[in-house]
Amino acid sequence: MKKLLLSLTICCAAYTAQAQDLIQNIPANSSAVVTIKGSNVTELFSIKEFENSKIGKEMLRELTRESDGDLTSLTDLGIDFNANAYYFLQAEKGVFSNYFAIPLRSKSGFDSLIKKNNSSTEKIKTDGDITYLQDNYDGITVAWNDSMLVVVISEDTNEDDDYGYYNYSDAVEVEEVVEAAADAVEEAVEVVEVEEVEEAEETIEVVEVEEVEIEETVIESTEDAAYSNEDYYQKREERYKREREEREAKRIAKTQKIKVLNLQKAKAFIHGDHSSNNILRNKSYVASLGKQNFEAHAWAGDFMNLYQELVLTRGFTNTFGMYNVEELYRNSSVSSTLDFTKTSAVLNIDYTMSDAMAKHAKAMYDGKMNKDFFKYFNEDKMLGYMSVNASTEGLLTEYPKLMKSMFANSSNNEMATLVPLGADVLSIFLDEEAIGELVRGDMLFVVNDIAKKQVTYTTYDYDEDYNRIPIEKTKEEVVPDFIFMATSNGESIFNKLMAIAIKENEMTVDNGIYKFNTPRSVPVNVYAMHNKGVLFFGTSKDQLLAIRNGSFKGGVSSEHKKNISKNTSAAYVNGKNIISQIPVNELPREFKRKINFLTSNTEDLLITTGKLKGNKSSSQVILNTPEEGHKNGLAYFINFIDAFVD
Amino acid sequence: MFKKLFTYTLLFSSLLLCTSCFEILEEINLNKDGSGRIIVTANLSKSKSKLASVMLLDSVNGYKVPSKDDINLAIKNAIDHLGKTEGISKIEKSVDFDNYIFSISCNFKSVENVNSIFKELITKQNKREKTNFNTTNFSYNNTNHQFKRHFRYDGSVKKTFNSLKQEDKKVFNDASYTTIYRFNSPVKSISNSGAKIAPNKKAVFMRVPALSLITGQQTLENTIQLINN
Repeated sequence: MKKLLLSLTICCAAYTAQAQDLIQNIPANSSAVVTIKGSNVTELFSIKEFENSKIGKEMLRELTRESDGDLTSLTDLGIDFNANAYYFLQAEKGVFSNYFAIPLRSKSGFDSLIKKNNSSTEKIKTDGDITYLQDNYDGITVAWNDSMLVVVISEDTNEDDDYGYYNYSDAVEVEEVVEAAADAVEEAVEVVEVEEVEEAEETIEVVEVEEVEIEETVIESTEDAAYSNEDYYQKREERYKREREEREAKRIAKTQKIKVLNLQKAKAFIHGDHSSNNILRNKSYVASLGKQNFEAHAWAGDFMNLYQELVLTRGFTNTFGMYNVEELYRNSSVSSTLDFTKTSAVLNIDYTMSDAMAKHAKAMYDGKMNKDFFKYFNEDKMLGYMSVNASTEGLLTEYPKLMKSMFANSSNNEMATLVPLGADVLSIFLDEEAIGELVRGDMLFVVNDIAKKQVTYTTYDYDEDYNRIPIEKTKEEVVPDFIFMATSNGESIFNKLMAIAIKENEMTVDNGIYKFNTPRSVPVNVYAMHNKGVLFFGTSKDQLLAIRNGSFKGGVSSEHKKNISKNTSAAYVNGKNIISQIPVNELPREFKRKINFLTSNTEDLLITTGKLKGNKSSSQVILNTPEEGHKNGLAYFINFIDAFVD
Repeated sequence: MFKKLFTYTLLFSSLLLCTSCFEILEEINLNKDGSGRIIVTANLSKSKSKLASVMLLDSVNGYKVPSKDDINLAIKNAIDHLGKTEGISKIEKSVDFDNYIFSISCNFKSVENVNSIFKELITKQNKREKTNFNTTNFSYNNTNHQFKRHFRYDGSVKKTFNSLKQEDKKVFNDASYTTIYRFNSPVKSISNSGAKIAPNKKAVFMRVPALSLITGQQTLENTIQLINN
């Protein structure tokens, strides 16, 4: 029942209408809010279509079974699939409450489902127009009326957890064991002493050795001895029983408290008047909503409140005081949206940071991408890339400053003195500008290909007398072909470093191209070169030679050029090309069908983090989805699940 | 950063196609008086590309990846332990990080000396984990010229294996355990139908897939009767 409720909450919540948007009931001081925009979702994929998918059919089967045939369609549940469903978190005085809120058209569907599944431990109760049931173990409360259903799950971090009991038990047991061991040692020593009296004086040394040995043996075997000691065993069992009962009584009292709290919260959500103080009054939240074209939205604001609730109530005040967290995370918030279009699924994540953090970040990522990089690889053959557009000088200058501001007002005097001092010393020793010359901070890593290569391995053959003869066999392995580029004006330093590496036998040089002496077990060779202000590492010597001779023909579209140069970081995966490298015929039969789906249904993935705008850093994950066979990005995901669910 | 990118690219491509595979070889050359030489070899050569990539990382799938130093230290400890074991002599090791083949060999006065190498370890394991592994792995009766490879299957192995993640289980798919026993006298009979007698009758060979050992489908147990001549 719980499983069905949970899956209904999650899956049906994905389809949710508009009589009265439940957002009005979410308190303004909520720490996090997740929204599933029902109307947008159902527009992309209707309930009927979902019910015809494999996962939908499975859910319907379960629903019909649980309701004894009363409910045969998801719409029978009474959920208003066109309205918005919400999750939100409230943190107050160490109590963390998670709410799941689903809009209903009527309560009859849920009434029917819940009543059919009412077990002895879950009693349905009614209070006015609210029907509710509460779990006896953890106090989870499900309450509903004709217009909404809310699930409340709370955790009170002020309450002691049970670990204390276990520790106490361990301590008691250790004490008992030590006592038993001490008794046994005493007895053993007495025996030795009796013998000692009988022995001559010269044997004292021997006896002492025996004593130590006996002591060790006794301690090692105390456990076994204790087990065989009936009295000890009985006492221990009694103590365990007492502790179990104490724990159970404490758990019941805690659950009872949580049940009362959860019910109050559920009722307050359903009937409370939040019109003057709901989340729509929270500026940070409202600003994160944008044009609301999304299918899902998540927001977490006021990091400091959550941090304080977690740290202070848990008693980690020392940790809290050690770092100057407030300075760096004040007014920070994160919001994200999930948007399905006709040919993509787009996840946007915005992180709004504090003024102090933004100042550091701006300097660290104030990079300029070298346009020459685009001459050195070919998009047609590319499987993916990763770029970083940072400033080495900025990183080296700002990192010590960040450390200083983190610990400057630390409650730990030693930290408050040593860390800023260490940061200053580091700044004095580092020549940020000179290091920035060697590696400026803009870098690009491109995977050109995944090629098959014959590699050897050693195994054994046996002659007819079964004498082992080592033989070399070959097998095919895939090896990556990649190139790494970084802007560098430190050619002379590079050459000096290479000269040292050659002297140390770590590298060899041929025609100005340096080769790493990688172990034989590494199936690729890695080459290095410094050419026209760019530091190269790559697996293809021919490519590096062609770049140096100026004969390499690169070709990159303006779209990729923009992704790489306009963002702080970008990662691109050409899914179709990578999937096509998998030798489907060599895979097991059951896997082949799934890979076939991927082969004809995989497109590109792009992850970018934009440059800082004001205090906001925006990241985006775009998964392009094929148009053919999938009416939009959401339908693609449902079809994907269908293909992989057996 | 470059090292990380290189590592992950290599790891990704090797995980894409490279299979994990290893073989363990247990060889004993037994003299008529019960003395002999044992050679234990771990050959991971077929997985060397994957291992070379994995060893660039600190941990994989939550397991700490041992460094070359860790492996060398473990081998040194094993050799030190052998050196202290009675009846063991002429200890030799072979470490090949290019092919990932490691072997340790030593002479023994009697197979009882070989048993005593692991006796303490197995006894502790049995006590701690309530398992029932043999502390006697080999025996040789000089009177009736019978050599025995003892093996007692313990269900805890299968239980531990089943608790592994699917990905981790794959490591054992193509793994094998090979035993080769060579004698000065001809072999009259063997009890394990999975084993083979050499045409010259002076060696017994058996290769068992690791999964069969883990699941208990096959055993290493073998009684080898030699002809007294």
